[in-house]
Amino acid sequence: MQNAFIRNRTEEFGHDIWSSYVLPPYFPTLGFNEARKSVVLEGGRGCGKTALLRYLSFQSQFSFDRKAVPEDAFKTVGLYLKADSQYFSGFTGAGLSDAKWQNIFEHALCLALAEQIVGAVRTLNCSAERTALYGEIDKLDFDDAAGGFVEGGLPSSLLAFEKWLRSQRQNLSRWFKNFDETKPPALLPLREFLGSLIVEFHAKLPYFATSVFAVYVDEYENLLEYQQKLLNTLIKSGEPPLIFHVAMKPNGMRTRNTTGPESIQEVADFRLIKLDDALAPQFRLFAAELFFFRLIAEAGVPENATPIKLDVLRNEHRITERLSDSLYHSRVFAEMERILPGKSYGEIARDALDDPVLLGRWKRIVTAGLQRLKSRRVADDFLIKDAPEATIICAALLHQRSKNADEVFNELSEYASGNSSKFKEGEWIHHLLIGTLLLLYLPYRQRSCPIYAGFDAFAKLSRTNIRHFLELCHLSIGSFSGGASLSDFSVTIDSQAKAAFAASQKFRKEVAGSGDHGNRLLAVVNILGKVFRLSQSRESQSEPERTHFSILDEETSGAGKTILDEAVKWSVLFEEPETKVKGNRYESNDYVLNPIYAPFFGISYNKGRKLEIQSRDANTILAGPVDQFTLLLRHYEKTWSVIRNDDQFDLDLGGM
Amino acid sequence: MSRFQVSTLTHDERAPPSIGNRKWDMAAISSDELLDDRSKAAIAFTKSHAKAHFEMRFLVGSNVTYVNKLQASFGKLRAQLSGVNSLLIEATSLSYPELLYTLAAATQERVKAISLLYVEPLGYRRNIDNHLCDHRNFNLSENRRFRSIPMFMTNLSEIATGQAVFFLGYEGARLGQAMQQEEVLQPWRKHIVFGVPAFESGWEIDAIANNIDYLSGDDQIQYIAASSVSAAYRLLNELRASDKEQNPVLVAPLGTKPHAIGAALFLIEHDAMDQAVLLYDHPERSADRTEDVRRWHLYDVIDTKSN
Amino acid sequence: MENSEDQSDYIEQVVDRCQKLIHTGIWEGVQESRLTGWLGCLRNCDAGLLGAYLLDNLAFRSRDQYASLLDTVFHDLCFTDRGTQRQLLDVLRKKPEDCAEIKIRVAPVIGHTAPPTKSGPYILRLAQRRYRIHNDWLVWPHTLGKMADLSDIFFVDDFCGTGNQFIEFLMGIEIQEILKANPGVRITYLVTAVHSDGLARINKMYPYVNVVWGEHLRPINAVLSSEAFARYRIPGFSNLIESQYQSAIKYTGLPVKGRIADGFGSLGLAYGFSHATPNNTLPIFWMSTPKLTALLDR
Repeated sequence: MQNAFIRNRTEEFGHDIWSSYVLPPYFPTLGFNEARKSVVLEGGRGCGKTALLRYLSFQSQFSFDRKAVPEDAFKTVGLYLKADSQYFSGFTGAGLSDAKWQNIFEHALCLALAEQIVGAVRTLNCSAERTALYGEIDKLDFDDAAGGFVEGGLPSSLLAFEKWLRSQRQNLSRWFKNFDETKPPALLPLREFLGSLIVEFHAKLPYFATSVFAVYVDEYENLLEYQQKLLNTLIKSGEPPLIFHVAMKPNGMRTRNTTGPESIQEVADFRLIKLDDALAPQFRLFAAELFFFRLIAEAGVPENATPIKLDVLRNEHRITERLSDSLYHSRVFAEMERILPGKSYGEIARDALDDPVLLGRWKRIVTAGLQRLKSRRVADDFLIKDAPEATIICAALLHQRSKNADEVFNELSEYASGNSSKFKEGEWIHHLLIGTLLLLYLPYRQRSCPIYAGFDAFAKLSRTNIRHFLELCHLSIGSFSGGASLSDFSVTIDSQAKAAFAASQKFRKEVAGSGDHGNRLLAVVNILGKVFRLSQSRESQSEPERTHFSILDEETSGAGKTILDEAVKWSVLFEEPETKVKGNRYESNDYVLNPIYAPFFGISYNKGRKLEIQSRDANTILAGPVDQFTLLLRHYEKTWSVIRNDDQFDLDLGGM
Repeated sequence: MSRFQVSTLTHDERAPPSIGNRKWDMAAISSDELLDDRSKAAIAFTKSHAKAHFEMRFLVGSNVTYVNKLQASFGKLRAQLSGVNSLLIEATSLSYPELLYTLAAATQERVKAISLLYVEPLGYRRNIDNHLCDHRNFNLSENRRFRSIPMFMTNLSEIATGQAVFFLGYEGARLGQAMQQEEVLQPWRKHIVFGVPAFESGWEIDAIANNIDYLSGDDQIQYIAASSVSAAYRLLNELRASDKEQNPVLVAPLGTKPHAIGAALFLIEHDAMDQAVLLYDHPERSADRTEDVRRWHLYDVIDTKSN
Repeated sequence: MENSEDQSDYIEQVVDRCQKLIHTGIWEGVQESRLTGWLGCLRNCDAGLLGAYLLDNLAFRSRDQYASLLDTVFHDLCFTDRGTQRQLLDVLRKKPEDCAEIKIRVAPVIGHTAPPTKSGPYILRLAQRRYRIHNDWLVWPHTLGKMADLSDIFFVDDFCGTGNQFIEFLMGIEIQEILKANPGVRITYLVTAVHSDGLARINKMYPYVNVVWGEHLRPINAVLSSEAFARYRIPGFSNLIESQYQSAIKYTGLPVKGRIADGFGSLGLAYGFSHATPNNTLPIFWMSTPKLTALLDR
């Protein structure tokens, strides 16, 4: 059962993902097949960008595994291109101007795409049956089509043209080995050359007679600036039968300029699709479907043992049905919740009161609160096992300045008797329960915390990151020796909570490898995590579940801005338009810490209260020296009156 | 039969080794102005044992090579070595591309005997300040980007599969960054090389601890002495020979300088037809490298092709 | 006393790392059940932090790592054969009868206390298999007394701590007599790991013995030494570890004083091979008591 989730990255699946691709719910809104204008696909890691593009490319659309290729698939032929970052980053300097490099880059792209175009014909005609159905390859005459671009012309047949393309690639390679001594190869003009190949296909291959060729350039953010300019030019001037789409991370487009005087603009020149936003509404359903799909495809679970149907998941025409069938949703969610059960907050509260360690902590916090309030009451007065949620939050209430012990006690009694009470009608429980539960669990890192367990919790922790969700599943199931049949199989809360912590730890560590500033991003995650954790440790829970911040006073610029942009690009932070308008004072957008880090820091995964950070402090976090971090933390401790004792976030209760 | 034969002299003292009247025809040293103690010692030694010397510098930002502070083509670099029978390369202060280019020029000019000098710093295992846990020590230096350099440019997307060999050092994130930046390598057979025995016993603990999270079950872990050029070179040739399909071997010299030297020899030997590919991230020389000298290594390389 | 959050995180981090080291094979030879047991015993006497510290600094050589130590010793090792430099392994792969003019022999160092399944003979067998050394070059050390006109003798061993064992060995085989019978013979001690103390003693007492090692341990490798603690710039840390160590020793019944208490020769090491653990390593790692599961095998 475990193996179903090990292969989590698209790279590990190869180019042809026809049989393994589950169509995302937002697929119909993409309109790639009809697209005649460029699309910029924006999404963070793990949102399925690359898988989507691989699905749209000819390797999948014309897959050998596809019994019959429908008419639709010929409308747009997808050519997928991933710029090998380290290779193209080297296309600079060495005594050549940017302009010269741009031509070389264009030439390299041209060769790669020409090979892709030829590949499309090959893949379509990958078997005897296919060739019988489509074929006509011998009608192609490449010399006729594009011979004019090359001195000495081109070979005519497809096979010979393929060889020629390969040798051109090798020429380029050879030239790179020795810039100084050898002559550069003759450079091809991309649009014109590819355009003429397409014209030839239109003329000679009936099945491609009206096809549009769409180039999908992945990882656009890794390109050098002049390379982005070239692609921008291709976007701007692209039109059928050759159009260019790019996929990138947020903040990946470093320039809007083209090689000419104009720049590209959204709407006029391209359509921007934010995949994370598109995925959000239906993420739970999609994640669940992928879960079952993987069980079938990789762990051999029979399809009829799951609530999904493979055919439906892979069928473009049945997506609407999938999204609107509420019975189907109920079945899927019910089964998910059976396999990955969570506990309600009420149950968690009840269990906490039955746990001697947690109960002990609750008592200590309550007692400290009562001492502060100089009340004669004792902790046990507030312990009502039949009203666990209300009991739990008393720990926080008794530390709130606006409350007194008797008031809390009275309201509690009313609540326990079933009468109207601020606990319910006043929404005390609603506001404080999760925060107070987290407060109880906070110092006990070795304990698995059930708040992070359950299908719902996993979905929230992942936000819109499929990879994170599948990893959570993998780790949960991994620590559980798989049962014989799916209907007997369920993962314990404890295993899930441990998996959540492990995944959180793993993804936190990965931040260091994220782009050019990964080390700094990790530092940012750590300090923010600690600050939120500190906030979480305030007994009063006056600002419960702090997981996001905004920056006040001054707009971030320079080094700080770079890091902030990088944090958004790598999905360390999610940028959201700010929720409240506060007059003339500057306030940035809201930045939410990726919820996947929540289990590691023991904080909430909801978007709770906001922390407003002065721009000076924000700059320290984003670009300042690390020894300032400790000072910053101390400052927050003082402000929040969190008393610390030797690095403990426990409370100072006179020697524990 | 491998192309290069390497023999090593290790002088386990702070003071330079006495090698009598041995003198090389030519020496290559770095143009770098930011020299720390050991580079200064190494360069002094080099100059005193060479009849002539030249300065080398490669700026990765602009991909330009400088010989004696003047912009130079690879041909000019080769010209420096024309007629030279013995060359001493001061490898301590040269960056990886500088080392690689000098070696490439030397082999193309058929220099018979090439020696490389490497001086170990008097380093130590990383200190642990203020907090025990790892979110204490933020290494806030810029991450680096992996980028190709002239003469060693290969489009990894064009290679179906191969073996990737990562020589690792003390810093954690570099392997992780490589795997994240070059996702195309995910399905390749990966070998991870740790320097065991390390320069000093116990230093390997940090290298292993800092990289353990990036290792996957399919990776083959290899160990060779941290200061051995010949072991690195031998390992790469063995791995290459073990692949019956003769797929390319990608080399990422992210560890010790001696390993990097061994990797450079391998790259030069098999560079034709993209049989050997370089993956490198060009770390900036940090400003505070004031490490004193620990010990000296002199590696003598015989190029059987030139002899 | 409860650990602080930082300390708890540290312990968890080190334990997590050790588990990964075992799973990836880097610590092949350490058993996870023993690790858990050992830590559990230490936790029982409130010495969890000590356990983490010891693990954080344990240099453990799996078989694969050990092979690299062997390679470091043997590869590129040369000797002078009648004026010419030759690679030792090149010669050892040949049949001795085919090179009767080359008079060298290789013998294991046999300690009095170490069984033949460990140490010298075991290492020699490993080397023989790894490098395809022809059997006839190998001799038992006590037979050396009968040989004459040898130009080189190579003694093979896995670990040299204080040098005691090697020195006793040389005396035991009557090295002085061997030198007389083989005038001009060069003695080389091939040892995969050596400590400065042992090296110094051998250099002093037998200056003509050439020592070739794979790995060199020094005073700083004494894991409870002030030099080792110097890296941990956290106030009170070394005192805390020391006190946990003292209570752990008492609680588990490990020797408080004597020859072995701080590792033989007071070398206080945290070092082991998958095939054996030197007794210079702190007994807390390898000694088993009713209250302590041994982490490593002696």
